[in-house]
Amino acid sequence: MVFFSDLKNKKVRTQDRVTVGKLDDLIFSVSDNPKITKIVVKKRGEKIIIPADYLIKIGADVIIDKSFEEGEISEKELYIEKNLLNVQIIDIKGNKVVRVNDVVIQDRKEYIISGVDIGFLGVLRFLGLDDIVISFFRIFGKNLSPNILPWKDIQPLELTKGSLLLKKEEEKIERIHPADLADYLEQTNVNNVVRFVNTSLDKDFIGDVIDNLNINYQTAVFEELKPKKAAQILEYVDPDEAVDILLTLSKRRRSAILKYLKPEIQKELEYLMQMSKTPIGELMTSEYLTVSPEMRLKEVVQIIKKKGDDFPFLNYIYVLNSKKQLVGVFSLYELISNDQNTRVYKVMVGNVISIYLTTPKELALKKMLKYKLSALPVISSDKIMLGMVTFDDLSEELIEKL
Amino acid sequence: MFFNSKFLKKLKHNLIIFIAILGPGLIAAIADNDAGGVATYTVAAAMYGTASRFFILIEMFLLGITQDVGARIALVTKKGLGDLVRENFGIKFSVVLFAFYFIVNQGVVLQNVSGLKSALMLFSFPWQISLLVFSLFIIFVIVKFDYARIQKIFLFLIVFYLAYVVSAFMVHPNWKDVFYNTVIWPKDTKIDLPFIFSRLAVLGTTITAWGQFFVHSYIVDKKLTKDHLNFERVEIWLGSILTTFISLMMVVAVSYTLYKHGIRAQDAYSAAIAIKPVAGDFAYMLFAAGLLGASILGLVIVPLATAYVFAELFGYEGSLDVEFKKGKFFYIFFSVQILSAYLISLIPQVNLFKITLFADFLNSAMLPVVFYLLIRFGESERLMGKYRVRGATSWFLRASAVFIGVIVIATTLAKVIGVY
Repeated sequence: MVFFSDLKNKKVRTQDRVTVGKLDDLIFSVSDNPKITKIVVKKRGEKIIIPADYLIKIGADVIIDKSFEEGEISEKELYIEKNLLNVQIIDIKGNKVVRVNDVVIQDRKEYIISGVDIGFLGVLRFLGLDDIVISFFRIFGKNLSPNILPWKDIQPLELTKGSLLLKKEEEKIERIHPADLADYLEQTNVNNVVRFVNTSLDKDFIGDVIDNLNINYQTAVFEELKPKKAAQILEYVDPDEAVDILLTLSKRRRSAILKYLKPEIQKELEYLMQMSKTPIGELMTSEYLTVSPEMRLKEVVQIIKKKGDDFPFLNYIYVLNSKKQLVGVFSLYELISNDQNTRVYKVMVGNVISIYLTTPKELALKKMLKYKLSALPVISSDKIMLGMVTFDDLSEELIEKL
Repeated sequence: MFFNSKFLKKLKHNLIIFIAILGPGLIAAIADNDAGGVATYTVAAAMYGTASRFFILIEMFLLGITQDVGARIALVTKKGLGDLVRENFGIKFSVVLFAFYFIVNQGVVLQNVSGLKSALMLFSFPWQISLLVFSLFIIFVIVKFDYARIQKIFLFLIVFYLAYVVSAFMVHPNWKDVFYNTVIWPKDTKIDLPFIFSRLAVLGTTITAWGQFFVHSYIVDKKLTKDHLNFERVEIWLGSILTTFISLMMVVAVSYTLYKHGIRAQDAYSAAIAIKPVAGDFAYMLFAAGLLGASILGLVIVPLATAYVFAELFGYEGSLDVEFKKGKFFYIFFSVQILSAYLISLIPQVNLFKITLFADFLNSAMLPVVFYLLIRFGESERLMGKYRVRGATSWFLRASAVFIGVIVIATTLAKVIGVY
């Protein structure tokens, strides 16, 4: 994740170090999935537009392919700085809520606008004061983090009229991909998820979305729902996920829900649960590195230099907040490829794939394979990080079993 | 008959619309005669008499045209000056502008608090307590009442200014001299540098940055549209004429008492005290009442002007019609300015006079920026379409900007060199 304010005025160069100019603005397609399609480069007072296809990498500099050609802004495209930044956000009733202080861009093969920063840190970032203020508040033990409004929450069509409309309507939801909706719901709160589950939307769709939620939310939702409703929904959830969810619930609640399931599904789930009695705890290691979100990358590097021997496994660095809850993760590559003064929360990935003590080992392995991860953090039901399980240990254990 | 019913009906219809629209132009203009204004006019008049207001028509015109253009932009774009700044100049400029604006306005709020303090002392109230009561009452009214009710209070406060009109007539001035000195040329006054600077200070208190921002936001908050343009312009010019008239009456009253007897005044408070032996108890009470009204009006309008701009720049709900929960930043900003000014006024070591001079100075330093914004937005085809400012108005606006710019540089230089 990167902020527009960090990209603005970055040097744009080709891979053979020929400077093209400075990044002035970005152009995006106005849609539910707003892709960065072109970049605007300022070259000696003149602005040129370069299609994002030529974009190779955004790091300390913006690197583009040397064979780039100039393009033009097309219909249904807008500029970030000119059309999106600073725009007034209003709710459905027309009340002013806040302005767009910064734009959050997610790097997922393509560059996509994932949301807008509406917090005060967004304002400070443009002034270059965000670091100072964050450090200042840290003295008093207060951790500031950006206040981001997900793009899905916005009706971008109003942009051409100069304002952004906040929108949360049911019929719009079904057009969203389940995984995206799950992502979005995780950024709000459990109540919203429960509300979503209780809507009259297609059960299959709801089941898909729940599959894609992380386990904390899955558990929280099933703790909130009435057992009968929970059972109805659970029938549409992937059995692996369903087992995972049931195992994290209390015994009483679990049996209450099982009671309402169709007999054949009930049987299947009970069998799967039998399979996974072995706790993950015995495989867990505590030899991993954790840092706090407001640390600078150079501080992290310092820690590794000093105490690196304690952490033989350094592929991932986990980010814990002051309550020891797991809030993010980043890789060694991200650590060294970013500017060393950057703060951890800017480079970390927020939605951490994690498991519980009760997660079956097979499921843990499946997760690792599915997400191509070499280790998974183990967390408690209130997100506190308990340990880590590596792919090596887990596969060794499972092979021995065969 | 000439007055047929159709004509009367139309007149009545237009009058009703006009009364409905009445408010922003009148209030914004008259609020320029706030406690700081009263002090500046009084001090200058005690020093130079009615000559302190020579070229009064140009001054009136300048006030009218800036407010006129501001109103026009507000009606057409339906956005405050703060909104336009943020959307056209980005975050950095917005923050810097607001920082300056906030400091200037806090200084002006302080002027008004100390003006209110003086007025309360003139009425021999225990000022520490009554000042707090007034401050809290003002905050209560702004938070709880809606736009329509608050505007009625504003219009009522204007009545206090009548005190100056009455005082002016009481001193039996030579109206011919007044006219000659103010409109044509100050005949008996030696025109030297201190005189010119004093004249400029008076100009600076009439045209203010906050007044410009306020008229803009206040029109937007009233939800007027471009259909009301002509009525609003009439009101703006009416406000400008009335404001100039009232401040002239203030100057006349002081000129034919203090100036005539060679008594200098340091501020509005000492002027009222000094006027007692010359013109009697009634004149004293009138001066105190005028100062009271001016201070209260300023104490409401100026922090309101800050709160509006804060809400506009950062996109929060900022309207007198919303309840506290929705517009909490707006109301908090308003309240904090008043309360902090009250607290500062309690510290005996603080030299309020120096602070007010500094605030006046910063205010005039902001004026060129305000003019630039007016020209930039007012002449923008994109924002204003066919309503954009052009022709004579545009020319005059630019000339005024240059004029004000020169004045600011001149006063700055003079202050640095130490002439004034």
